Amino acid sequence: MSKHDSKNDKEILLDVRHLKKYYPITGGIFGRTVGHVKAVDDISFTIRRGETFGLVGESGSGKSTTGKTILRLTPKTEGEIIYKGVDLDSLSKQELREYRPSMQFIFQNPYHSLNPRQRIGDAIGEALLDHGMATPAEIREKVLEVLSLCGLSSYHYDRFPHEFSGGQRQRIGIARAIILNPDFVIADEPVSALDVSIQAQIINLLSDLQEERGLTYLFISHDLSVVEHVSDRIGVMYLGSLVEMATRDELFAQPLHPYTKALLSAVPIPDPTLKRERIVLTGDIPSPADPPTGCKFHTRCPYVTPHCRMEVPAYRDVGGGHYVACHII
Amino acid sequence: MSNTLVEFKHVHTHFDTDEGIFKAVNDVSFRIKEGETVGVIGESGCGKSVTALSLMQLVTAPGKINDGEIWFDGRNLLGLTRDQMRQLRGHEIGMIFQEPMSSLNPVLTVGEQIVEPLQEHLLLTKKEAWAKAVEWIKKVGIPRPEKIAKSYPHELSGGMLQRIMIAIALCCNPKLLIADEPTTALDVTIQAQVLDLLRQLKGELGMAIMLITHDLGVVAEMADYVVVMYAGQVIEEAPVLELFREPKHPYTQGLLRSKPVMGQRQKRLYSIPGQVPNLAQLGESCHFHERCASCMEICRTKQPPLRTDGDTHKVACWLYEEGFGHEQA
Amino acid sequence: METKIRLSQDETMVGESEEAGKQAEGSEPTDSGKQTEVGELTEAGSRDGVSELIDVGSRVGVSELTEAEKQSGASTQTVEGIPAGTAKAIKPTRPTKPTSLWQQSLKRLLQNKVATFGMIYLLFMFLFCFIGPYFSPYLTEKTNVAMMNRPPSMAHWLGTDNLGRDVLTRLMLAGRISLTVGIASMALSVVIGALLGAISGYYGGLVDQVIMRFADVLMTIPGLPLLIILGAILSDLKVPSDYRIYIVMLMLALISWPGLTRLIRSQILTLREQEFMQAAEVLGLRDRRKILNHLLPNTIPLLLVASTLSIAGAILSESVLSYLGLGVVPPTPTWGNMMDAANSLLDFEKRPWLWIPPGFAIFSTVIAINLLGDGLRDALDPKMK
Repeated sequence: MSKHDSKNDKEILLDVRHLKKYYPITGGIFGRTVGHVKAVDDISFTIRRGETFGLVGESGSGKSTTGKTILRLTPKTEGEIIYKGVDLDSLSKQELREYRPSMQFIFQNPYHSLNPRQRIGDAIGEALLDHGMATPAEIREKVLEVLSLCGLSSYHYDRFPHEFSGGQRQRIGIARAIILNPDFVIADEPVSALDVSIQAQIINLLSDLQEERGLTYLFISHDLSVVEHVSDRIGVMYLGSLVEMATRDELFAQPLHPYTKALLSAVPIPDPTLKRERIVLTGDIPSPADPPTGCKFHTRCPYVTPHCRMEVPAYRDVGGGHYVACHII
Repeated sequence: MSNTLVEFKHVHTHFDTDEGIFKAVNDVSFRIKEGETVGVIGESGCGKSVTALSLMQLVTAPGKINDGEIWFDGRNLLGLTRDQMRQLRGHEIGMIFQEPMSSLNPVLTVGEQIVEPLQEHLLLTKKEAWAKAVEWIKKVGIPRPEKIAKSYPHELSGGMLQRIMIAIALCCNPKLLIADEPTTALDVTIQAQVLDLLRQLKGELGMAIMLITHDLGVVAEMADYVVVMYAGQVIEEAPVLELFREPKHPYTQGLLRSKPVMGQRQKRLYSIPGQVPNLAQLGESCHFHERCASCMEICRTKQPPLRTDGDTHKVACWLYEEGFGHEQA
Repeated sequence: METKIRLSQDETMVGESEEAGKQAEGSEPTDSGKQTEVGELTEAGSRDGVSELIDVGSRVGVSELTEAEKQSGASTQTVEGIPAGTAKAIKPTRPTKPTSLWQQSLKRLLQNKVATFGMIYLLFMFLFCFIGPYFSPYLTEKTNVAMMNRPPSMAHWLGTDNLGRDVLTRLMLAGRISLTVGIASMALSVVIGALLGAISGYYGGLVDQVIMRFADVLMTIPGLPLLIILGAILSDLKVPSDYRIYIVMLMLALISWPGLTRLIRSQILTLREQEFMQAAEVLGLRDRRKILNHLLPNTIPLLLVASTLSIAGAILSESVLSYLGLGVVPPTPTWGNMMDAANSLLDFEKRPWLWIPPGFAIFSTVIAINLLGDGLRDALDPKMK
């Protein structure tokens, strides 16, 4: 989306350090904690101002939890989330509230994330009012402006969420986030509930908004082709850990981690003439409640060595900001 | 040339609701040959699933097959009694659904659920059926089949359950397998496994597959022949290579262009403007005309017929009709 | 997990307490059922399909995005040379008036014939009880020994009772009391129940524990015996009959709030976990706005249904109490004590006009309320859209 070379000079907007999010598993008669689901298990990455960071992974990889934990929608277990130089965890509830407008979230299911009994004009405008960013008299005008920016019409103002199609609801979700003039937007699978032709509309809208307003995105998706299209840098998650992170071009041209390779080769490409070598992984994704020892991927890895079963591979820079966690690289 | 196994002839399936008559399937005709994989693609609400349900005669009130004929292996299914139809289902026609979890009975072990059709249709004894069920579980690539046969659906992962569904659908050696979005709910790497399995089983058993999906990539990989549906109608059909090489209908073209493809990144995605029309308010126009970039006067007043263009390519678009197509570049 | 289980328990409770209503629901396929099926079928198996198709349905007239409009503009250009009139004729549908969820619900309710019947019947019952007496020539008449136990005639359409009073007039007057007691005790229990439920659900912790355990205790005591005991105490205390009616209301409210509290609490707990509440958190909304704009409006449908059904329960309980002579006592008539007045075998066999009218009134009113309540439930369920 934005130019590549100037990237490294840009300010670091979000710095996630050793983030962990464990959910306790309770069991027994007395509901004791018998274990933990390690939804996010020690991940670190940074996002620079103006870039789009893509987070890919399959179900249970913890990518959505990462997004929600960053915004403190669920409390983290450990680690630091530093946004604009401020540790978000150090903020009081009131202080955090003041930071909210600058960090927005776009939900996967725009229908569930809208109050069914609220007119969409009110849904979009209420946060402005609540944060004192506009007077009641200005609200309508501001909302209408954002509506048209997001490809909706003024007569949509007084309607209810159920009257919209999936694509339009996602536009509403985007409008609601954009009206607060955020710097940073987390988009959690924003297009995976939509049809192909609508997906393209929403992706284009997101990139237009980024260009116009200099937004920074954390784009969470399971769809590699979408992530490739929108992201500048991409992190690949597997069972709560980042296994690889690189710039888009690097990752797609030279994937290093066996999981990334398998993931890339598994995506069906709409070209019947294309004949590819496919790495089909055997087995299922293990449960994050009981992850394998050593490298979490060793149960499905085609290149597994005894060493992989024993020791957790270090997540390290192999040059040029290309991080990977694998023993055989 | 192989014989026609299934032929839809002007099938109309309508849902009579309070908001009007939804023409979910509106004059659909196409064929599936023996041993062929036909991909039916379209966005949600285009009638692709209802077409399959019409074939299975599982359309329930307020839906009704109002008109047309569905020939299967020399019989008109719409003329069969309920009992004859029941014997056909699960025996000569197998079906798998998108959500394997909700399509399996949670209180029966998966083995028992494979045994059911075997006893019902192949009249095996309980012991024979169980042996065969275990054999099938092995055949769909699940290790430790004896143990898995005794487990309940909630104990298995989505990928495994879809394999079980495939085993149930195929254990009676059907001539046709209807796969309704078989991999949509699955992760990419698991999807690759399931598609591989389907391909392999097809090679062994030689059944025809009616593959319903919205994923162009899956179609390109699996199908021999593709039927494109839009707003309850077939708008284009062609052999897979032909369709992807030279899509003719503007909708098909748009669909192919709007999907981000890995390794073929564009600056901006093409998107089809607008959205799918309301199925209850379809007029005499071409249903796509409001979203079509090459809309002509006739498109607004008259529906284009599905005509053969070239050898095997059928398309319903005025651009390709004699005397109208002059605008085509 | 706990939340869900609680919710379903509560739902069954509401359902079970009114069996008549349940049966009606079972035998009459409601419109709501049909609609969901449409969705499921069109995209069978796909959860999104359900909403998508209903989208298509609810999108009547809304379907045009700006892009579609731009498009229609653009396509006018492509058909240059064709008379402008023809091109204009195919303009996209005008946006229709926005419909709120309430309007939609009302429409769905009116489409449900059984529920509409229940509503009309209740309306009739209200008019009958509250306005009817003014047309009766016997309104002021107290007792008339000369006219004791007369069968229905032209002068007394439903006959007279053992004190010579007109049964029809008394039936209407009794209806006033019974309906008032039902509604008032419902209102009271809804206020208590909703308030405690909302507090319990929103704040959780110790407050929740205290309220819910208290509710549990009340719920473990069977309602009827409790009422009988309370009624007996009242009788001993020699409360004047004019006041008894208020005390009966209080008693009924007292035993019915725990169910409502549970219902509202579980609803609040579920709502709190909804994604739109998370969205409200992302927007940094204040607690007050979250509760007033997001949580409460979403509990109203449930409250409406629960309170409707609880009116029926209250009417029944009041009748039972009064029949047992422990509720409202004569001379204030209620449907319950009218039946009580006819509780000898002689009356039962020879003077059916004494007990059939109040019996029928209770029976039909309760059924009508349940039909309406079930219809409301179907019409208001937001998941159905």
